[in-house]
Amino acid sequence: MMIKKLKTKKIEESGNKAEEKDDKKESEKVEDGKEKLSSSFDDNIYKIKKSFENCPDIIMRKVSIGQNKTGYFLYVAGMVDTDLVQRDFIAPVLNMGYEGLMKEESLENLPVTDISFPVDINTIIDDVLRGNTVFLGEGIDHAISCNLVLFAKRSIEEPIVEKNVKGSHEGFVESLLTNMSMLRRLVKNTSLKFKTFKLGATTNQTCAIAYIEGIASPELLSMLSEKIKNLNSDGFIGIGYIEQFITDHPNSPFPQYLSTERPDKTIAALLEGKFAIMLDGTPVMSIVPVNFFAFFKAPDDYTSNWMFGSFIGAIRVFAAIIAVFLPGLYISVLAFHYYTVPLNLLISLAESRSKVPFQPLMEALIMEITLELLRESTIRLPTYIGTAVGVVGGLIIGQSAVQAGLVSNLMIIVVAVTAIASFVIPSYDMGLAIRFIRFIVMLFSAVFGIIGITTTASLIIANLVILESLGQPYFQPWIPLKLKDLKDAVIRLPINLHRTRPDIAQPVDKIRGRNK
Amino acid sequence: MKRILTLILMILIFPLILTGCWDQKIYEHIGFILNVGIESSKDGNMLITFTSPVVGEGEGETGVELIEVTGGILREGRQNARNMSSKQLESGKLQQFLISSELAQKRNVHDLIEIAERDPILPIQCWLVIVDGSPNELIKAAANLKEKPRPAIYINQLLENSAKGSKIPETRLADFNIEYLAPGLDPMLPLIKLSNNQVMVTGSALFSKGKMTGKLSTRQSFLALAMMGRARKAGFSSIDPIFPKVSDDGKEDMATELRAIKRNIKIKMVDGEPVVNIYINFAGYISEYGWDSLTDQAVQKEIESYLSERLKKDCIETINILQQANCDAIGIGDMIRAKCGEYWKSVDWEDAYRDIVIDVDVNVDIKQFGVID
Amino acid sequence: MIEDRRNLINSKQLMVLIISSTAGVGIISLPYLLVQEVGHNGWIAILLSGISSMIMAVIVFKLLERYKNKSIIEINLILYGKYIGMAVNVFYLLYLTLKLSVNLRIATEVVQITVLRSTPSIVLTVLFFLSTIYISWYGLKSVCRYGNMIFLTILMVLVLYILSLNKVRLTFLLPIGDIEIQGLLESVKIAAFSFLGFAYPLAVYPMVTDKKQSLKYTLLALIFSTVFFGLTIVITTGYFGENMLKHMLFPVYTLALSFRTPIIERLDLLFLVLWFPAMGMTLKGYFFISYYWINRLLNIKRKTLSILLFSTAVIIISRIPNDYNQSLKFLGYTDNIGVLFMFGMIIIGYIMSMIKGGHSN
Repeated sequence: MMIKKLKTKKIEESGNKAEEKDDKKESEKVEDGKEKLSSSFDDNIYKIKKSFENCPDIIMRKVSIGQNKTGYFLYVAGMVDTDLVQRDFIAPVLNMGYEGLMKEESLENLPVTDISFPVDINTIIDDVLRGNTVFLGEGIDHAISCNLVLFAKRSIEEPIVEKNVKGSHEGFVESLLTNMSMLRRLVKNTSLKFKTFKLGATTNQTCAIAYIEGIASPELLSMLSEKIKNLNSDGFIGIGYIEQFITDHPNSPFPQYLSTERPDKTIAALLEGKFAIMLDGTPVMSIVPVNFFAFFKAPDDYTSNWMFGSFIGAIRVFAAIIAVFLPGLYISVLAFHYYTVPLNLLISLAESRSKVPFQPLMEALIMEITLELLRESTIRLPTYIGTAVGVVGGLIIGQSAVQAGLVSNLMIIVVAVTAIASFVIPSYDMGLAIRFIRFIVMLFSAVFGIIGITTTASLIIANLVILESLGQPYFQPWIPLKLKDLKDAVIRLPINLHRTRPDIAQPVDKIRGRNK
Repeated sequence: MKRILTLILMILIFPLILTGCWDQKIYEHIGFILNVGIESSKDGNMLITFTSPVVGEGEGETGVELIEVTGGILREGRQNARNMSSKQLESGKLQQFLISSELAQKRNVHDLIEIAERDPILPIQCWLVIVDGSPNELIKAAANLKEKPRPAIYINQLLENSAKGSKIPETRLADFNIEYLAPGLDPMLPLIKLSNNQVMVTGSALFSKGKMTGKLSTRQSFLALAMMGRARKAGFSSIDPIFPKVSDDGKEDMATELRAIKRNIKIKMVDGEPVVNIYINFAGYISEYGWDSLTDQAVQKEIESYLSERLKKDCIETINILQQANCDAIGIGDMIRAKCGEYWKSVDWEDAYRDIVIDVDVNVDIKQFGVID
Repeated sequence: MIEDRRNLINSKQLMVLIISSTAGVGIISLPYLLVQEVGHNGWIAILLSGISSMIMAVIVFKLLERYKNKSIIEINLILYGKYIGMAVNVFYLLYLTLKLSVNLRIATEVVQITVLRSTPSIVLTVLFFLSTIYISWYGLKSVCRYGNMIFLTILMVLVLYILSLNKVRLTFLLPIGDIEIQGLLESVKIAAFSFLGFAYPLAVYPMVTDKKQSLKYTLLALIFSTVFFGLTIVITTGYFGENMLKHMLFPVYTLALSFRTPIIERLDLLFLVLWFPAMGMTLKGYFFISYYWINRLLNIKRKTLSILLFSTAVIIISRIPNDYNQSLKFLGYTDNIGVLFMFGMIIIGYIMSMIKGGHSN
């Protein structure tokens, strides 16, 4: 029943689209070279059978429609709602008989939600692949295609990697229609628009850009649409494929698109004028344009008091800095600048290090690589083993390593703090970037000491300053300095001060709320 | 074209890839020199003592490796010590230089420790301390004290606490050089000695032209610091004979914690000669007195004027010692140079300092006296 | 001529460019150089040179406003005709390149003397240059954006000054004014070249989008530099005294070494960490301008090759002095050329433009 309701809402949009498409097809038939239905029924059937050769999941159900004429119902078993098809499509069609099928009015009154009348073979085949049931009758010059889709899909549950405490626990699923409907439920406004594209030479997936008309900037929209239209590849397995193809700076480790599985995060972004790229077959959306600080925010920051939001936001940035620089700092102090160690720590540190046979760089690399191995392995393991291995790995490996004399106590603490700090970052992509950069910092600091860290830091900042996400500077609002956007960068000021939308998406309407 | 490009790229990047970590000093392979003792040795050179903590194998909490060498200059001493030490000795964590007083009287200390300013690794905020006696013996004795931390740390803590109590000037190596090089200013260094097998702070050493020329006790050091304007935060417990006498129970002294909260120096030219007037305002907190009423304003006033008189006398005595030692620690020469340029250019301050008339005015203000009256 | 979008900056970014290019290498040895000439009155030299550079900035803008949207390279060609103008331009660019190389060498030497003694010089030079080449590739806008980080360094240095205030003796700065004219002129020359800020608009004027405000922001930048340098001189002279300062090669670094803080105990490493990129920013400013104009003059299309050749040339020139003192001397010679050249060129240029009547296309 729920599915029917959703489809009722979808009729207007896709119905309009189908009619538009049909009109276009009427005029473009000749140009596109789409094959029109020939007058010979057997010809058509032969062509269709040829395309569906060796596709046992696509059923061609022969029926007789009176006056010695045959017809075929075409559908993909497993993608149609057999109950509804049998009751509301096949039965009425068979009851209409041959004369009834020639009359348009009776066809339009078929009790199905979404109906269209394709006249060329390609559209028929496309419709069948989309999950429609198509009826092709001998002597009837148009086919009847109705949308009674039902396939097995994942239920709506909280995304595993983006949990929160005080907000909705819904996450997107793989079906594009369901995702669109989830967004529509949250923004009950016709200004929520979806611009669709067909991508993938082989897979024919649908991709949609969601935006709110009246807030989003038309120039950015056309820029993004151009990029997506020019995509040329076999298929896009995940949203990451699209991101990598259309990014401006593919060689920078920092992510320029924020990926999320949560509807509330997407809606918040859309309300600021950003765009969400949705792809059929993946529950993850890409939000663009974003700035560097968007990767350090979680929805929880906004649902509680501004003081806690700011505090936690500041802690996250601090954690990111620690996660990148702490091992490098450790190596450079122990290998080059022994004189910076405070006097009280001097001797105990020397004692714990005297048992270790390795150089600081070797020691750090051993521990860091072990930790990376641990991290990758826990992703593959089932959850019940995963947590145990995490605990066991952390405690036992760390403890034994110290006892065996492989690493020193301080190294364990450094590695543990670094690992925990890198888990604080809410975004998976940014976490990856930080893990990667950390190794580069370690290598530089092992050769040049503190100057290595400085050089790496200045290269990182240079990279951040150059980066642009869909043409917008990546490191705003700090560089270039935009004072009014600072209220939501690292710290978060009280919500009644958030009257204006940030500049990053160049919104057309800058003021939130009702315009007086 | 492409080959030239690659060649240039390689030239620019190769230096980074070809490692050899040039400057590495691995932490656990380094012996940290924690303090250095310098004195004259019998053969005309200097006897230099290095201490560095023993880590790991060895004596746990207080193990110290002590190396004595002779050498003409400090770097030579470290070089010779490296021939004997178990780990490569590095001086990045040096805490103090201990110089014997007789060496300080013979040689210019500023030239002696020049290496500390030249080498950027040596910390120039290390203490520069004069030992009344032999630093070698002091370090050896301190190393054997089992209930105290390692000698360098022990002396460090001792000096820091004393500086907090305004008993010694907190003159570190950097300050020593600044004060030595400035015309019209002379440095004062802390003075310690070995007493009863413990290290004791005895006051400060006075310097003129880089050589030690006199000493002050801790009380006199406090007054000198007060006159320099540096005794504002610290509290010095001044022990004076009790006045007015409380009872006949035999208590001879009283204790007052003093802070010099204000100091003014006025210099006037009288007949072409400068006359200096130092005015100090002390805040006093009576710590130990006698069971008598201090809430009485009259008694407080008596104590205040008594203390003022005593302190004034002691200040003048301190100044006499300073003038005789030709050590212008208070910086009067510096102020004269700033204000009366003509006079400064006409005299040689080294000689003129001895004869300058310096007068001191002290005012003591009792602020509190504890929780009984 | 329409500039590449990546090179367009606004006046606030111009201000940041000027500040970040001057507060880097110049301040490392400025107190040392000044105290040799004028003793403890270095701040007077700074004040005078600040005022003179502001006057020059006004003249510069008057000259630039006569020829809308052209930089000094093109103006020289108009004023002096093709051949002499070209010669003047070549001289100008050579001066900038020389200045860049000497600054690079000084920066490398500072790092080598204080921290990394055994690392070969050329490796350090390449390290410095990595981020310079990277950012200059992406245009002037990125250089200015990166230059915003100088404020972090300046903040840290100000904190350092505040921490050292209680040991600063004002008497070290008195008496005021017992200096000879010769020393004063020499010192003004040294100081003026440590902040050559007024010359930046000459080269980047066409790339500034809101030209009406650019004079105001340039003056602001010069005032900021003057205050910052003046503060440095006052604090280092007041802390160390004239006699000690005469012996110290890197006064601000030694200042950071001199006092004791609770946890880190030595601030010199922290100082160096923040100063290293500041020195880099000076290099970026000079690098971008010389590289960009050499490209424009010689009409080079292949950016990769030219940037590598230029960097290699700069690195080779920077190896010419033998050690730090020689590079300081080299800096002195470049400054001598600079006096004649920059001041002369600007003033003569202005007079010539008055004579020629001035175009305004």
